Amino acid sequence: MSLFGKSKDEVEAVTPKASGGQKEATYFGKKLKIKGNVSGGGDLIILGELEGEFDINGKLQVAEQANITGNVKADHITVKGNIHGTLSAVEKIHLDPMAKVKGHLNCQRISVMEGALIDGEIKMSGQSAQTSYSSVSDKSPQSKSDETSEKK
Amino acid sequence: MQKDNSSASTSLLSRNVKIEGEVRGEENLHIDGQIKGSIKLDGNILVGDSGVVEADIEAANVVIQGKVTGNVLARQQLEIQPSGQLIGDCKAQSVEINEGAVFEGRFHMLKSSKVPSKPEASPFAPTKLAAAKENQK
Repeated sequence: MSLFGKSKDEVEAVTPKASGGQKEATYFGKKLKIKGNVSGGGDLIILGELEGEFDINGKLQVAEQANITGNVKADHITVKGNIHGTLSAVEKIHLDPMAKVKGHLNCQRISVMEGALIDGEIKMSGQSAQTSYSSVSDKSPQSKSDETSEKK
Repeated sequence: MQKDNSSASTSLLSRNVKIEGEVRGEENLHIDGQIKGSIKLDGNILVGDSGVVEADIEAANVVIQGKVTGNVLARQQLEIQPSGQLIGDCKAQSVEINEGAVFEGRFHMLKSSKVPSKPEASPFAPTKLAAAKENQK
């Protein structure tokens, strides 16, 4: 990093462990434009543009200025920017007030803030998704329903 | 704009991440992961120890600590550090190859006055660029 000298405070704030450390977050800056597929593990923050697919085992954060055209898969997706394509999260999708999503959303849990725009369908994949709040603790992910847990 | 490299932000591609395709923009890029395809940046590129690049690279300064297969055009300087490996032809204004580095290919030195054409203007629309500038202020 030091080779490039004056990296902005902003950059350092978002990528705390730029050198060394096992779990450093990948960071795509505002002016980076990627066409193609991005895959792999670890957390990722994107501020720029991507035309293609994301397939990440980790958290994905789509910043306000970011523009993504294509399908996105990750464990955990936080959106503040624009996405045109299908979003699939293993765990959770969070849409911030600035988010604009055009396409389908697949996830187990979702939170949408007031102001976020969604144009598409939401599918909550986990069967337990709706009942999970009461029986989430010890039950297996495929817990059949609330009733079974209540009887016990 | 060209000389503005130092103020550009640095993007980081971490170890376990792979990009297949084209990477463009006005950023510095630190590559610890893998890239296949092509890279064309206004800023600088550092290929870290664990970085593996199979791509043609174009940037202002290029520093290689990892493995690069492909042609490299450094508008200013190319540096291959002891752990670095470059297989492919390269063009640069100046070069530094450290002892221990691996370099297989041809080298063409650019004349300082004759900087090759910028990467086709900029991939960004002028309006956007202007807006981005304003944001930075």
